[in-house]
Amino acid sequence: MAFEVLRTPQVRDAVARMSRTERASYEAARDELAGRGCLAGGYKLAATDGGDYPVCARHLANAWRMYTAYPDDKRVVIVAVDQHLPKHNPAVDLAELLPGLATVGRRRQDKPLCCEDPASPPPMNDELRKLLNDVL
Amino acid sequence: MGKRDAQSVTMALISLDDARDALQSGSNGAALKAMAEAHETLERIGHAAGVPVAQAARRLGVSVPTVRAWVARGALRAVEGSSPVEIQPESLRSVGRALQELRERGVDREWLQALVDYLDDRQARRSPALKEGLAQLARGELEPA
Repeated sequence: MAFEVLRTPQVRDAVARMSRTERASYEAARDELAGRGCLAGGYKLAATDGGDYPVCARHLANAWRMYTAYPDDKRVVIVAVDQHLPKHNPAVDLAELLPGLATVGRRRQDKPLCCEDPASPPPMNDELRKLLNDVL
Repeated sequence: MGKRDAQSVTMALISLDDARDALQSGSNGAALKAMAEAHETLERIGHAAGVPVAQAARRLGVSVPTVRAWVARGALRAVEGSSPVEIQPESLRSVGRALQELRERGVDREWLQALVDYLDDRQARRSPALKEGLAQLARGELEPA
């Protein structure tokens, strides 16, 4: 099953700033999204209310992360890629206060998967669904 | 310190001893009254408006650079115009209480991991890059990856 993978200009510009290794990790993730859909999306972000935010995050090389949304079971949108730098991470302050605490959050394998079935991508909230429906 | 101020400190110490004795005998009301007397006595003595950064760091149990970073981020409030920087006493107490609670909860690693996870994801949700990407999405600016 192949998926159509789209991206925003933000992604294109950010990828242009990446090193060769970082770009290779982006391209590997993109290719995996094209082959496996949301199974390659990483994990679901937590929303403010403790539920799931309708965007998935996947770690790339170094501090880069990729954020994806899923308008339907055929298409993947890479919404953004960004660097998650420790100096901007409030968890670092906590970790300094509490020695031994990891600064990278919950172990990645403990976070909820982006999806378990590529035919059932993570549901979007109404706002994002409308946004994608208008565009696609 | 002048003789009068030194005598005031002695009076305050006596009040604090009274407060300790009252607490040990379970008389909370008497303890609070004695502490208020000590506070009132010390208030009359001239004192600095704030606490030096090094002392604030010692009290909070963090490093001096951490205190400076928290001042820069607004987590701790500095006395306006102080040079070198001094921390407002009320701000120091408030942050100290929050830290104490965090440290007490520190034994609960599950809770801490959940908190760190939440902060981590919150940072991602607030990422300017993600906001920019969503705005571009809203404008229909999509292309094959």
